[in-house]
Amino acid sequence: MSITTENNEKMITLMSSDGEEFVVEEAVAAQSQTIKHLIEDGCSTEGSIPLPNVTGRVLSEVIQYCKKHSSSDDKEEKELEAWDAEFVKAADDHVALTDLMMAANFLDIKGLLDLVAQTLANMITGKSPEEVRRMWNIKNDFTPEEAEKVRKENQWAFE
Amino acid sequence: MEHPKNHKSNGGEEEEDRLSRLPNDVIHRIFYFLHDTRTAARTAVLSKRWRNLWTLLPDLSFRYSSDNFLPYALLRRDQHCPVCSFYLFTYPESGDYALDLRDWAVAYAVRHGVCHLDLRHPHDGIRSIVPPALLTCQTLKTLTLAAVDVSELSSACFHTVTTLRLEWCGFHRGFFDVSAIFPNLADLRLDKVDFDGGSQGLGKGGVMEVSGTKLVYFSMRKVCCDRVKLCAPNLVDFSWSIDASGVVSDFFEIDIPSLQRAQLLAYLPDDGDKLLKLLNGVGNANAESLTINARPIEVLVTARLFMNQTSPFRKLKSLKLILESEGNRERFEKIKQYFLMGTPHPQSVEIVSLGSEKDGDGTLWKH
Repeated sequence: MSITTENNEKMITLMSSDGEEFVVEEAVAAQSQTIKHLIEDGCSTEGSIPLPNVTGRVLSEVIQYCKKHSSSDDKEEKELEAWDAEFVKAADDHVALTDLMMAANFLDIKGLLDLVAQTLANMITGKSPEEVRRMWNIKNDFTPEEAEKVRKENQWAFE
Repeated sequence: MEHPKNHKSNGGEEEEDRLSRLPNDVIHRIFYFLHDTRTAARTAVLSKRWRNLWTLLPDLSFRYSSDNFLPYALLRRDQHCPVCSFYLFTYPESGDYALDLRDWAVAYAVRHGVCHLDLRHPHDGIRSIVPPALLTCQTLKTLTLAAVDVSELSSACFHTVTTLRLEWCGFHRGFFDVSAIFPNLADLRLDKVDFDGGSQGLGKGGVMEVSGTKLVYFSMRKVCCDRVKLCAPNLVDFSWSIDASGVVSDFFEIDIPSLQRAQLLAYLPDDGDKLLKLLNGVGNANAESLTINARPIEVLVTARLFMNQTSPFRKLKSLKLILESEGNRERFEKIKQYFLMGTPHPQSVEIVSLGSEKDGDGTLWKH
């Protein structure tokens, strides 16, 4: 569905995987390359754009990010950086971050993808494999023989 | 116990492993931001899912390469996987082995189609020569060299490079023709680069020519070069600065008709004539935005080389004047009027006072 506000700003409707609808300015939605291409192909005029991989909860966060970044062209870079830091801190729940990462990847929003990737990278840096496993619930599925082999294979990385 | 967030992060045993379920390219994006291949390689022991993930990583980054991790990583890596970016920091002081290893690693990156190469040595160390394999590389888009003697580059031609950054580098072949070596350069940043005549008998200082038609951004910071020819028809952004010990280059030819933004910062320039030449060159280029500090102007005023002629700047829309100290406001007002004489209604005029004196790496020098 395509409607226009008083400011002559074109609005489009996005629908999450769990059926929640979000009406946003086209300029905000177009921060996503995926949506931008859909709009260019005329998909936005035939009702809402379904996003089968993104839940309403994640989509509302993504939209929050896109709103901030579409309106901040002239703003101080530092202010935006501080905002980004607060944004990932608010989502600083491992599940929320991986969901956000998947959404940013699917929607092709480079800034958000990089922001979350950097946050996740920081969470891995300086941690032992056991700490990383515990943090993310990664199950060590190597047999003792395999584990020994992999350890030998990668010993240089641990020196 | 009630968790404040919608999803539990450290709740029950059954919680699924979301990180491992991310697709390979997404995990590689996370690896990229580790900026360290060693940390990425350590994830191999996590589980079967992670065992070979790092071996497919297109972005490689080696910070302390003097040990055996570098050769191990390159040999263990999937040999069919191309290299996108390659960062390597080596200590040449740790002996020939470190440099041989560096050259071998660069040859590996070149064979695997490297696009972005960044080679660094400590700033205070010996400048090593350019790795031989680099000279044959025809896939590079971005090249960054720090503390390298780049003289050998003059025997090569890199058609694909669009961004070049040289820091703490030296060139000893007399004439450095940037555009002949990098004909498609769009972004050139030279930081603390020394050019000299070398054995060609061209005198103490070197000569640099920058004349690429694709060049859009050019920054020269603390560059030591006797003479500079700058003829870049599409240059939009030009930034030049020297510190207290710097010498103003003789810009014997300047032709930059597309220039929009110029930043000129100098401390105690020794030669008002050369500075005026640069100022006129930039001014005649019709720059619309100028950032300049007051010190070089003071020098020109004192040397009576200035103020008794019309300003070369005719289309200035924004002016940023940086004052090193709260000095003679009246004089600054005059300087302002001088620059803006061609534009009675500028869009923005900003006078920034640094307050306490910063020499060397104060805020003024930040890019």
